[in-house]
Amino acid sequence: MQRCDRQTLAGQTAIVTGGASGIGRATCLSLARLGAAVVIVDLNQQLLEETSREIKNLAGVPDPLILPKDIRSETDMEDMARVTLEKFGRIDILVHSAAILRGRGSGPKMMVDVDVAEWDEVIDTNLKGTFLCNRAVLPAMVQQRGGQIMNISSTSGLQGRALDSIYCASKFGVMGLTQALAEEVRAYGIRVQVVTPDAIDTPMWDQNGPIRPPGDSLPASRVADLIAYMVALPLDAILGNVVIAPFRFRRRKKRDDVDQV
Amino acid sequence: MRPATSGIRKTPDRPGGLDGQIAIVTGGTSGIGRQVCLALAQAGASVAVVGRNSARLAAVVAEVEAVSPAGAFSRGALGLKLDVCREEDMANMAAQTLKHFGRIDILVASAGILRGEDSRPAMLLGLTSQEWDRVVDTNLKGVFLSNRAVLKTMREQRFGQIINVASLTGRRAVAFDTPYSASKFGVVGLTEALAREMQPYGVRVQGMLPGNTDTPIWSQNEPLPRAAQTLPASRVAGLIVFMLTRPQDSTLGEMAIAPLRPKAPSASRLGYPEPQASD
Repeated sequence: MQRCDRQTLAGQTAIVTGGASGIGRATCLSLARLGAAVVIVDLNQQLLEETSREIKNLAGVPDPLILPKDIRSETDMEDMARVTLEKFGRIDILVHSAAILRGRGSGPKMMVDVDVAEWDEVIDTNLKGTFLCNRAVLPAMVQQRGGQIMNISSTSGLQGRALDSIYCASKFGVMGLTQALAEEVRAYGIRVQVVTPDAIDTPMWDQNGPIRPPGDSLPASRVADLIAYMVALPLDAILGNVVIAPFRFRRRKKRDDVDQV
Repeated sequence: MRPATSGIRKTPDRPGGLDGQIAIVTGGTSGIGRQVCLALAQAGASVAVVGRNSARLAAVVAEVEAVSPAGAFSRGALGLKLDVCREEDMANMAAQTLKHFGRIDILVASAGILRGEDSRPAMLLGLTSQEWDRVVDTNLKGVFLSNRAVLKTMREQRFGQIINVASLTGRRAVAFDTPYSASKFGVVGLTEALAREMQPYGVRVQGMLPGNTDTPIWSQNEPLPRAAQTLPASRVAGLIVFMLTRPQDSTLGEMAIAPLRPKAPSASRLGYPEPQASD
């Protein structure tokens, strides 16, 4: 009888974009712990090196590769796939976690005040970036007749939210792209899934001006463990409607008024 | 000290970590429910197996006891011959589980039918009220009755988990399956409402939407053929146990699981590489 907890990714190669911070960084650690060789893709060299060191400190896991690449750049994404194939010979997993909440230096604002430059910056990063990095790994995966892509959307990709119009549009786009792609390539044994996290405690909140994260934001590792489960699941199944949210329970005095009902 | 009855308890943060917990599984004698019983037992839980057939109950209880980790916290299995459609049976389910095990940490509501035993896929226009009642009573009212039966205990404990097994048909309906579709949409609605209601009490209510799964329910679909691709029921059970073992600071809502490969790949007709080639 097979235990449901016997999961391994030994021998597999996983690329993680946005892998040096937030959910991406936690995912690098979770995948490495399951034995995957991790390729960390990010723009920030210092954070890349930190994340790499953190993985090397785990006992008995393959050494990671760091790639300072920009998901907005077509050539960078092609390089990402090429270098990974040169070094490891395969691309088994892509976790696409790179994203921004709004333009550099911007804050929460009504759509009436959004300029085209900020629109382009967010859409290019979140939506076109998803297209470019997904497309880059697909030729190898089709040739392998197997592989996995995990995109990260958001509960803002299911329900619009005031003051976040561009982000919501980009994350709804990620949902549509993922669902279409999943149907397109599943016959090749390629599994494309998407996870929609609610409030998670990551540096992305720094882009939210005066609006602070809720006190019960989940640690990024909670999402990373879910992603690890989803990619380690046997390749006969695919998960959908994957929403992870804080469970809002506070210890409180017994609510006798309601208990009497 | 009453560790299980005072506020939140941390679920051990490892897959398979349900040591010492008490679970009830309706529809536990076949299909997904049976695999859930086995997976829960392997994860260290004690299981009350609920079903209508004595012989199958005895068989599953024996299977559960055989896979329970020796010398662990598990106190084995309890077979309960009860019907989810009957109010007094569901009250009995909670009472007998409490009497035997002392509390109720988990309910997995897995009992469900596609249609009545002597029935076939049929258009709504000719459907009898009796057939409607049979499906909706089992699938929807059965979830209401089984959930309600354990909620008082869970609210008092300020701890507990419910997973209701709906279906992908609970999001996208299927022709000739109107009562089943209506009942499963209902289960999704009930589950979402109940999740919101019980969250302040530390009771986590989640749903599961399995796609085509390899279970005996297909025999109720004749003369239509089985789906070409089905999930092993153990895959769905594995996901349910994963959801139950997540730390109590998060919730997963209603996850869907489906077979990966469709039966008729169309890519090659568009000039793309043949999906089946090489491997």
